[in-house]
Amino acid sequence: MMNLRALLNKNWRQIPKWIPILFLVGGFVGFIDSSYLSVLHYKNVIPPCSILGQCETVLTSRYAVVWGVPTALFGAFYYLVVVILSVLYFDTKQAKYLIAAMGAITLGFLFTLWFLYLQAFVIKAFCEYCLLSAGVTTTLFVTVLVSVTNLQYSPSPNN
Amino acid sequence: MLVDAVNPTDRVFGTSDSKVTLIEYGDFQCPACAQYETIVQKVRTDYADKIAFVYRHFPLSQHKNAKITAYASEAAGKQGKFWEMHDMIYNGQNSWANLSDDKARDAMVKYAESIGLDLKLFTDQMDSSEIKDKVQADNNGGLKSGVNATPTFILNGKKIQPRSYDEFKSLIEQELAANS
Repeated sequence: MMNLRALLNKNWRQIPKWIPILFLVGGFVGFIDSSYLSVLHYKNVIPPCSILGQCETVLTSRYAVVWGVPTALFGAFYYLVVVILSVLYFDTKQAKYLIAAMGAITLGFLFTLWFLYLQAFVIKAFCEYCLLSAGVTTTLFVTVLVSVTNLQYSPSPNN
Repeated sequence: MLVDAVNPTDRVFGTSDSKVTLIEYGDFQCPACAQYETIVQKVRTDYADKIAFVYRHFPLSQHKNAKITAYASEAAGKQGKFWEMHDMIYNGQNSWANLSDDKARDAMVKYAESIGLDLKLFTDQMDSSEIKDKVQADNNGGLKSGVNATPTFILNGKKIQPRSYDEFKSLIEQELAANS
């Protein structure tokens, strides 16, 4: 059975151009969002308590920091990786960068599910910045799924 | 920003007849309010002889102990110790924020005891409709003025967003100069 990586390597040309563009745009939006929260953390600034959101409850919870590092900074790093891999793909047209970006997005999506679970059932509050990130990563992950499911088991031009 | 004028039910610190009024809409359970508190307490004290500092309640629905603590501060105010209670509640935010209603109430009673309040009167007044109405009136006034987050600071009718003591100082000095 052909594994996914081999399939992608073989048929990556079938992936529409808008997909890496979406990775780049989504990665950039997510990077700005996560970086903003990371900066707030290091400046020791708690966002105001809003009538509409509960961001402060999430950002002051014990889940906002892991091993002394703000969770948002891990997010910023992840989005930066997606942006860099997308740029490398545009620059070199090598499938390995697109495949790596898809892998990073899949991993990011798993963490997104975990963070949504924490907000919904443990912290019992949602932060709008975290939801924006969840929306971006979910969109990117759906794009990954669409790309993979649309790949055809067709002979590669090199074969 | 249209803000309710200072009225007799307001908690005013400093010079109540000053031409410069700094209003804070706050929520005792808001972490950002607690973080600002060190700066605000210094501003309040340093400018006590020059400005009127008004604290108004804006308890947010996501903070389950915001109302009970607001009631506690007002009940202490009935015995002339609003600001002592106000400061204790903010300083102890981490210790009561996640308590159940009953335990948060017990924590407020302990604060009241520590500042020498008549506890029977304090607990009766915490439950009084007068105090609940006062907190609700502050909240309604804030909503009417467009307050949508805490802390919101309003200096002579203008919403300000200072991030440090020096920024507060600069804005207050400008307003004092304009009204001298």
